Formats: sequence, structure tokens, C-alpha cells
Amino acid sequence: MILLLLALLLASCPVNAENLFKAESFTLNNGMKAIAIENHRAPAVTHMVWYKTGSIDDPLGKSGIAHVLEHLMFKGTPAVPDGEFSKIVARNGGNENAFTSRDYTAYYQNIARDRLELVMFLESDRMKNLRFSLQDFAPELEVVKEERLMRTENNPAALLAERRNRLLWGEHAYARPIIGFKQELAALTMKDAQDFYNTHYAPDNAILIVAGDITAAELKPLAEKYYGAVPPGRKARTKRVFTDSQPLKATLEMAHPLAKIQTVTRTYIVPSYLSEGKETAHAYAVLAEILGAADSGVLYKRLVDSQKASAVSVDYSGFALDKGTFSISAAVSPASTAEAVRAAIDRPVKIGEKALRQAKKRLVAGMEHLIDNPETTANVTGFAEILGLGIEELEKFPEKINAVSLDDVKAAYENMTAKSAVVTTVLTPEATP
Amino acid sequence: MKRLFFCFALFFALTNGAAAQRIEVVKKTPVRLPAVKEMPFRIPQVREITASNGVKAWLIEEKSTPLIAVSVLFNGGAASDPKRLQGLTPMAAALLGDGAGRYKSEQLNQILAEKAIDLDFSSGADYISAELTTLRQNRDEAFDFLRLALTKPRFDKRALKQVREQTLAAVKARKGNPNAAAYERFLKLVFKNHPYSRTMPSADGVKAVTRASLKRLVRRRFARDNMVVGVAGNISESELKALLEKTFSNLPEKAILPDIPDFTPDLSARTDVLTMDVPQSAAVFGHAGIPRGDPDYYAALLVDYTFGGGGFASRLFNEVREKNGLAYSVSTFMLPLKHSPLYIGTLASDNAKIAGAIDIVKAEWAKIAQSGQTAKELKDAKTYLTGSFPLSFTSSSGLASFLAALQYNGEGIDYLQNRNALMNAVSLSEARRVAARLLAPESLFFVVVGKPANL
Repeated sequence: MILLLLALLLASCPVNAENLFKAESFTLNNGMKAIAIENHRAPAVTHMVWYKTGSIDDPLGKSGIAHVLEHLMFKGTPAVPDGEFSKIVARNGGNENAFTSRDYTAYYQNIARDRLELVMFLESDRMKNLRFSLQDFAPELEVVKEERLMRTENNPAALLAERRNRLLWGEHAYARPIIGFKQELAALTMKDAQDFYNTHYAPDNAILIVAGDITAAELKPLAEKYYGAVPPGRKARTKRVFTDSQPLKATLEMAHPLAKIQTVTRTYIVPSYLSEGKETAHAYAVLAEILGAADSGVLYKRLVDSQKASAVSVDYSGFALDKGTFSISAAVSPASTAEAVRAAIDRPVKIGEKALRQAKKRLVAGMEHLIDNPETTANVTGFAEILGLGIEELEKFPEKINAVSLDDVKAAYENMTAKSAVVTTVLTPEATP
Repeated sequence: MKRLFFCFALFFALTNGAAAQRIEVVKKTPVRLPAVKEMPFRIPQVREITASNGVKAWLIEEKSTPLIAVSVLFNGGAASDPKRLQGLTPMAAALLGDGAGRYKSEQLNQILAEKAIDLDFSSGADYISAELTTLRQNRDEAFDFLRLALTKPRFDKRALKQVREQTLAAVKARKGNPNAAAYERFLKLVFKNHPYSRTMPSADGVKAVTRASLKRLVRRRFARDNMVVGVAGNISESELKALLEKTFSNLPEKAILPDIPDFTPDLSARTDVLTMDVPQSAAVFGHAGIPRGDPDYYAALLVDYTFGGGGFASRLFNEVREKNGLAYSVSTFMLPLKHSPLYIGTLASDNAKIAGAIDIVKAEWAKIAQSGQTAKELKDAKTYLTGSFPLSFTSSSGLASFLAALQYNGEGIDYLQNRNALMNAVSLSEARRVAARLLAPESLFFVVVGKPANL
């Protein structure tokens, strides 16, 4: 249910660790990876199953199906029919939900420790036994259409971002919205959902994470009993490669009566932590911090201090299987213009040693905040693992950030501004008639 | 760090929304669930610490975490702002971390980020609060920044200008957001001229806020007789005692707050429509609620869980969303404002469908008012609300806010020990009586923003 924003938000969250997470992983016979993360402060656990599938696997013309399937996963199996899943979790004091992103889909429950086995039974059951019925599918598709109205149709910034992504990514799957294009979403069928489930949902395409009042020794027999009994059988997912033979530079403008503030957003395609060019990813993380940090950021000062913009945000979204994005967004001040803001963004920036040093310090500080709450630890670990980075890579984060040199940051900036595909959007208020 | 936590906060805000489920009574295959071997649940001990300056704090010590979290709640929020300064309190909250003592905003932000200290202020209609999270080894400095922010905020010209611009932008943006517009209009129509009708910033109010008015707010509200403190994490009683003394000794002893009259909304069952050109209409609905501290409050929580507060398990979710696909989100909650508690719900549906969704809400409102919950529903509400209690103890910052809120609401220090027993003691007949009190179909007032058909 949580969609477009998620990847962007988390991608901009710095993470690092030094054997800080008390995590231990093991692999079941059917190929499913499991990770136990100890935190015994409360008699509770976060239980998550992450699937290596998301909207990038939506077949052509069927955008939105990965997310619709996520909704259907709550409907029932022969053993646990008719919405009993959620009733059982609730009766046992559990909170639960799920989220679909471009590259992954995850399901989770937060629950008292003595109920862990119960949710492992439920989650492993719906991994293989989901029951599809038209009686469930039809109203649920209506619910997802309402979700699209809320997230996209009622929100001009989201509408414009949808158009921007089409232009920016072209034929790549990242061009398609997670919630689905309006018409494609309306035309989805139950069979589409069933096919998607049969293709992508299996233990060897998933990762189990349990964080909280648990040890690996305690988790192992339970994981074997429930998830280990689910037969494997999926092929590894195909890697998508973004090829932009001729990087596009475009501007999109939209006037909309619901837009009340003029905003300028520029989005570049840049390497991610996993794609080609990944060795430059940490430099982009530092660059975003140097440009956008509140008060001290180069663009923050240039735009907000001079009252060209009331707010500025700069984000590097590097947690992606394929290329990532780097975005600069500004809310135009009433006394200024979109042109002035664009000109200010266009003007080359000078980056000094001091700004670099301070940005790096901010980025690597306070890793310990991530281990206070088991739910947070489970989420961070999940992101790293599902994309194939692993906890090891999280642990190296501070080291890699500290190794970024001024030349690295300058090169990233040069490459981004001179050679990358980029779309600038301008959303402008339109007087209501 | 701030950014990191901002990300996670948003992440959780987003993921904790409604999920996709359907609840329906059809033929049942017997479900053989794994047996639950209940494990005894040790409720953490809360200690009241009193410093020599008289400042009290509630503490839950947890040695296994590297963090310490502090939550300080002061009485008096946006409803205490002068009429012509609508927006003063939220602007103060936005500015309090932006420079204090000899540290200008930019410098302070850099130090906080490098040391991974989170210092945030927030506010509501009745309160303004400070939330501090720090690594154990940086606690002395962290508490000192809190002290500076509370006693010597700078409110520099640059920072004030920026926050004013941002708040003005937010005021404008509300007008293009049907959910926010519906909520704003609901408060305005329900509270008329009461200060609660002025708790969201207005353009004129924001423009009138000056450095002097912000300083006055700080002087008058941040006082020792007007605050409660919750602390959780890796800090001992004696360490905390010393820090409470250092941090709060410079605050004035007594606060100066305006009197806010109690208010009882005078509402009838009707629907107010504000036209906005959007494909999906947003609705806010409700009427007077039950105050915190009322003997019926626990029973009301149980009723609300079954009716609309319990997410996937609630009647409204089941009827509006699962059975009929009329909305993505529909829910209710108790808004325990000090001088006028409300019982409120929200809903968003396609313009063509919202009238049908509203009809269902009205029918369900009347139904539960008349017959209350079933025995099974009450039992399920109890097992959820008591069974999820251990989840309250997993995060230091969550615990600190929880401890501050308990004191603010006048609960006793034995609350944690008694809470589940009080919940379990609610009988079916009591819950039915409270359902009839909580839900008043004759006063159920709707505000709808959009282009709804047939309304």
C-alpha cells in the first residue's frame, strides 16, 4: 500500500553499521534466506517476509498488478479463509501491513513474542496457498482504484511526477507507476494476479527477517517447520538494464487548479548502489547532503536565503536495483519566479573541503539510532538484503562515505549535470474559474 | 541523523495506513493454528525521579539500548495563541531548534547532526512539546542544548523569515488538499468562535508573528509548574536527577496561560459540502466525544476499536471498504481535546460513490449506538488492546512520549501495571451503555470537500 514515495524516502536515508546489528543469517533447504536480529528490550518481535518482486515485474500493459496482488494476499487460503488472517493477527494483539515498491514487496507483523509461531504459520501459508475468487477480486480492485484517486488523481504533484517518470525512463519498467496507470489498472483481471503470484511468490525468491526477542537458534527450527516446508521453484529474476543511448533533457510544465504553490523539480538519472557506476554512489549521497542540507546546503543557501524559494530539498535515491535518481526540488517564493529558481539551480556550484567534511560527518553519525527499536532494524536490514547489498554493505557505509574525496564529488556533479538524462518539471497554480 | 529519522518517521507514517483485506462471514474450514504458549510479560517499572529544583520525571531505564530519549510536554498550545496571532505556536515549534544561546541555526544544526542528537519540537491545540534523543555518551551536551532551546532561543531574523514563508506556503497548500481542507472546515464549523476554531495557522496570523511574540510565548509557557517529563533508555536515576537540575533550573516557576472555556459543540445530523474540483471527495465527520480521565474512557476505546478505530478489524472498514469497495481509507478516532473532546471519522471516496459510503457510515453509527458490540466483538477488542501492549515498549522515543502523555493526562504511576486489568474489567452491558453515549446519530455532522454526486 505504500507506494511511490517509499523508495525515494528510504533511498535518501543514510545507513551504516559496525557489527552493530546483532544479526545472524542462515539459509533453508529450499533456498529461502532467514535473518534473526536480537533485541531483548521488550517481549515482542517484528516478523517480515520480503519478496524479490515489485512493480518492475508487472507485465507490459498490466501496470499495478504487483500491488493489487499485495492487497489480495490478505483475502484467504483454504486453511485460513475469508479475511481470517487479519482477524487472527488482531485478536492476538498484532499490528500488520504490507508495502509494494518498484523492486520489492514486503509483509510484516509486529506482535508479542509468544505469538511468533502463529504469524509464521499464517505468512508461510499464504506464500503457497493463496485462494483467488472473483468475489474477493472485484471489490478489491475498486479499493485500489480509490487508492489511486487519493494518491495520484487528487494530487497534481503526483500526476506530474507520473508523467515525468514516463519521459525520464522511457521503456524501462521504472517508467510505470507502482499503483498502475489508470486504464491499465481498471483492466486488470484475477488471472493476471494469479499468474503474478505463481511466477514470483516462493521461498527461494523471499527473505525472512525476525527482529526482537529472538535468537537465531530459536528461529531456525520454526523457520524450517513453516517456511522450509514450502516448495521452491522460481527462477532468478531477470536484471533490467537502463540504456539511454542519447540522454534526454526535457522540461514539463503543468498548470493545475489544485496546485497552490509553484514548484520546480529536477530529476536526474544517476548510478545507484547496485547499478553500473555503483562505485560513484557514495559520492552522490555526499553531494545531496552538500547541496540540500537545511541551513548549510549550497542550494539551500542560494535559494532560501535569497528568498527565491521557501523550501528546498535534495535527494539521492540510490537504493534501486537499476539506476537511481538525484532530485532537486524547490517551492518558489511568491516574490520570485520559476525562471529565477531554475537559473539558480543551473548555475554551477563550487564545493569546498569544509562543506565536504561537514557533510560526511553528518552522514555517518548516529548509526546506533537504528538499533534502538527492532522494527527499525528489521526495515533497514530488509532493504539492504532484498536489493542484494547485504548487512555487510551497511556496515561498510561509514567507511565508504569517509573515503569520498572532493574530486569524487566534483566528478559526480560534473557527470550528472553534463551527461545524465534529466527532466525538469514546473507545477504552477491555475486560478479556479 | 535528523534526515534519517525524518525518513523513518515518514516510512512508518505511510506504512501504518490501511491495508488490503476483506472480512466476511462465510463457511469455515476449521483453522488449526499453532498453539500459543503464553509467556509471562514483565511490565517495565516506572520510577518517579524528583530533582532538587522540584522538577519531576517518569523514567523507564533500559540498559540494553545505546540511546536516551526525553519528552517534555508543556500545557498550552495553538488554542492559547492570541486571536490575531493564529499560527504562533506551530511557528514557535518550527523555530525552537533553529539557534539558541551563542549557536546560530546553521552551527547548531551541524553540531546536533555530527553528534547524532535529535532535538525536535511539536505542538497541538493544547500543548507544545520537546523531544530529545541522544546517544548515552553525548547526554550532557544533548540536555544542555535542550536547556538552551527552552531558555535562550534566538529566533534570528533569517530563521523567522524562512519559517514564516514556509508556514504561509503550507496555509496555501491546504486549500488544494481536500483532506486538509475538510478537516479545517470541520473544526471551523464545530467550534465557531471558540479558540479551537483557530488552531491552524492563518495567513494574517502568520504575518503578524514577531520575534517579540515568540519570546513572550517562551517566557509564559515554558515554566516548571506547567510541564511533565518522560525519559526512557540508558540512563540511571542519579544521572537523570543531575541533568534535570541543570536543564530546568533556569525556567520560571510559574506559567501564564489564558483561560480557555470548556465548549460543547451544538451539532445536528447534516452534511456541509465545500466544492473543490477533484475526482475523489474527502469527508470529516463526528460530534462531541468523551474526555480523557472520564470513567467511561476505557470502554469508549473498546467500542471505537470495534466501530472504526480498529483498522481491518473494524465495522466501518468491513462495510465500506471490504464488502463494497467504496473507499481506500475509512476510520474513526477519539480526539481528546481538553476543553471539548470530539469523536471524529474520516473517509475519501470517488465523487460518484461518496453518498453511498456516507449512508453506510450513518447506518452503522445508528446501529452500534442502539445495540452496542456483540460479546465476541468486545472480546476481540480486549484481546487486541491488551495483547498489543508489549509493542509499546520497543522504542525509547516512543516510551518517553508515552510516559510524558500519561502524566499530562493525570494517570497514576501504576498505570502500566493496571491498564490491561482495567480494560479487561469492562463488561458487555457497560460497553453497550458507553456505545450509546459515544455515538450520537442525531448529532452526526459531515463536512465533504469535492464534487460529490447526490449530496
